[in-house]
Amino acid sequence: MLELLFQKIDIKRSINMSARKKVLLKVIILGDSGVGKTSLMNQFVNRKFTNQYKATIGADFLTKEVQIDDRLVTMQIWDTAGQERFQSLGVAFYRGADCCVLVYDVTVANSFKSLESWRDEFLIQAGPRDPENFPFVVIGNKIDLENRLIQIRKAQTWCTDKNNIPYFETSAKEGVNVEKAFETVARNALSREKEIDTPDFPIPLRMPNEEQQNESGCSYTKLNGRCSGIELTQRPPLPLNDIPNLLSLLYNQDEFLY
Amino acid sequence: MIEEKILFERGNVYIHERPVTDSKGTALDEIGGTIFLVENERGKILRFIPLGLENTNYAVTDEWAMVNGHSVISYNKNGNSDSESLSFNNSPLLKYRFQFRLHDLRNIRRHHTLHGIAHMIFILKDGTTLPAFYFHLGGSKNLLQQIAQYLRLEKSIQDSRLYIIKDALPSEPKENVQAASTFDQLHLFDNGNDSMSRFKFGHDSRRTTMERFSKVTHFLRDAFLGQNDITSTGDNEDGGITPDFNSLLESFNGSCDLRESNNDGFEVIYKVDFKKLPDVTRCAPITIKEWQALFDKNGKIMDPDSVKVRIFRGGLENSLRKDGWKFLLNYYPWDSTEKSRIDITKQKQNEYFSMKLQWRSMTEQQKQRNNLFRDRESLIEKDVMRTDRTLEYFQGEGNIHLELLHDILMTYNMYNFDLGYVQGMNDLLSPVLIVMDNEVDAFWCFVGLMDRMGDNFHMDQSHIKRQLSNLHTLLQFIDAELANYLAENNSSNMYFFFRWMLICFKREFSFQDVLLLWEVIWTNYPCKNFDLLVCLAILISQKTVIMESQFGCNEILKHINDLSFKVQLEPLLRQAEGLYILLKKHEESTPGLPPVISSIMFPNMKKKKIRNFNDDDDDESDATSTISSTSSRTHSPSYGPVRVRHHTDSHTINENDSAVVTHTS
Repeated sequence: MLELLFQKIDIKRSINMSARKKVLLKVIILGDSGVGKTSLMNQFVNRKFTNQYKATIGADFLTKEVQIDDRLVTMQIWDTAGQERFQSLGVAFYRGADCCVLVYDVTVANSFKSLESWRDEFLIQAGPRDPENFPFVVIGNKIDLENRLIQIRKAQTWCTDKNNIPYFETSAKEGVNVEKAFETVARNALSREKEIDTPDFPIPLRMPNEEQQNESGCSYTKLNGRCSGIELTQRPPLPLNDIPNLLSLLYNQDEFLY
Repeated sequence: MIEEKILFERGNVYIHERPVTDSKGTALDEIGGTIFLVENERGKILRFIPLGLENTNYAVTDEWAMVNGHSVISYNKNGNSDSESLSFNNSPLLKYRFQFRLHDLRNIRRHHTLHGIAHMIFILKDGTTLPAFYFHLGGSKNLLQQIAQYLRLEKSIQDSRLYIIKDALPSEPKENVQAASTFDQLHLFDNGNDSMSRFKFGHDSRRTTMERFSKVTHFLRDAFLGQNDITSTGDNEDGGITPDFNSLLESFNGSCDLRESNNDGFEVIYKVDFKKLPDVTRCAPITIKEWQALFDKNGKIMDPDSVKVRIFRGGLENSLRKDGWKFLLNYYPWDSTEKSRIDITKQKQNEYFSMKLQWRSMTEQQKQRNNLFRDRESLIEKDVMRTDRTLEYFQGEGNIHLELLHDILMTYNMYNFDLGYVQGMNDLLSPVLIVMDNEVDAFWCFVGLMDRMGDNFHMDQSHIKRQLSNLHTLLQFIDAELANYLAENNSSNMYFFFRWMLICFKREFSFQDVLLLWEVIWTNYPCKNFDLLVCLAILISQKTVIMESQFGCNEILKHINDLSFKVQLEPLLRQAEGLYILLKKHEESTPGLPPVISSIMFPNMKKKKIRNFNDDDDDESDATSTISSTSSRTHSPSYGPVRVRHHTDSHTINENDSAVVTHTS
């Protein structure tokens, strides 16, 4: 009996959710080497910390689903290498970002100074529409350490000057404030969706509803109508060997409405 | 706490891990536990709980981290999240808890041999790949059947052990499962000839439908893109007549048993060779006795070339590495006598300490005025603290070996200030230091290693980019279908191999495997680009998974990242050498390899014609000629034989050439 109840709830939930598009938010974490980018990502996604992380080489991402009010959002969080010379490779991953997290270490003055150039570099490379209002979040990490050098006020002032970037102080090690910071990341990335309702340029359609459906039937859409080559081509080809699914795509059915 | 229903449960499931140490210092090779399929309001969840963690309270709550964060946290309007984060928990078992929603599953590989232990590998939609779960007391088939009730599984045509998830079945009512399923899905577990014919029928009927569709819809084009149209000459000579891609795949997954693929029937005939690779011989590592016999009475290696080949074939025994690497890394010249080596050691010792003094004697004021130096110093300090800290050699606070690591990197910065310190060098130094266990020796061997690898770290990254682009060019020739697939999915830059190539697989294999792989590569046998072939062999082994899962560029990156510590080295080396042998055969046949491929793989082929080597074995002579015909700019003549630069001049690559590649026939 109880199980039946759960099932019903389940179906209800599904229909509610499917009424709105499922959203994929791409988040890029930038900052100097050793400020704790990988740790922040892992604390947020896996709620784990270890002091055995290695310096990140190349790029990697983790995904996490969060529910923002009544919306289910998938956050795809990209961790990049901090050393400058590896950035030329990292930029390939900037494109299509919905939010950028700038991280510095409150005990390292230089890492704070670098925020400016990380921000500029990101805007140049990612080339977002409306760069003035692109959502950034600044995180001062490692507040668990005692030898802090950058005072809160200094960081807040910088953020205010940069068009009111939200500012958080975290300890990835102790899990302090990490979720709050990422909640703001998700909210601000999402809020852009409302501001921009017409895309800059239409997504070239190759089939009627390519925009909403991937082959698994669940619908992801990019926010803001921005699209880079990456997102367009990363959409998997049609399930040609799978006629029922193909038909369902053609008729724009939702996976929940069998 | 969430109410949940257990749909499936099976104990005695194991993850076979590389040795890790638990809190008491005992090594764990196998992590045993129980696999569950449960259902709660979040959906159906597959979960692995290691023995010993059953009773921890996160077992059934959503506090518990899912694989790659496939959990949901809810933020309500007030902005309070569910809970504060969990942080420290010291059990090493924690990282072996896995769970994910069935909904996130992309495909399953299930291996079972007639008498062996079956294992399953789950790959998620974002490319995340879980470790193999071994079902010591069976149950993998039941689990697969259970999953098939909720997801539509379809067996891959290319690889009979791969089940692709097509989509979710409508929830619950079992009758619908029948109605909704199509084609071969219902025959998943049949055995014998009957199923074979049905599989074939299933496949054919789909193809027919596809063909009809293709007449009316232009977007079906995708399906036919990337069909392999290279049919190289000389296929038959190469013995690649009965290609069996499975065998290539199997070798990467340890338990290789071809009987199973016969069970499932289904052989696909490939037009191209490179599928069936020639067998190669690999040996046990060189033993101490064998090693000692290599030297004459003056302590000189009698036949350096055959020693290199021998190291390539089997590597060195652990205790020999300290000596052997000094030759391989050109600290000791191959033609040195025991006496000259003593002199070299003395001289190099003085040289090292005078360079070390240079930075040790810098005053604070001096450093204040040297921005670049300070930046590098702080970067080195940061990276040293996070270099291989899981290895016993570097464990613990205030570890003395970390200091050595630091000092060597700082001294290298003085030795080669133009290059300085770049992240990744610490990774390269770590095994060298562990093997040498001596500051001076480690430094000079590291210098030798950086002579090979240094180009990877240059500011403009052009060398590593060229290496990656060479990889794609080679792939176009060896497996055009896969190369095209990558290109269509914005992955032709091969960035997913960036880490693999930058630090020569250092982070992708266990420590012991890295030692072997490195000494194999350092022999420059059978060619100096052997690392490219290693990458290609890995990539080709993942072709089916990547293509049938229809991975896009993000998922490919994730999948390749997740292959770390999952690839078996010995079979991989065989595959890589097999690729080499086939390329070599092509090169020697008429009309030979396309110029662009030739220039990557055999840049010194022309010089080879005027070599004066005794060529009993063709392959060997190529290697030796490569060694003898290249020169190095960074190498001092007093300091051993000429070094092969780990570098390919690929300026000849252009549009026309790559066109040649794709249309060679």
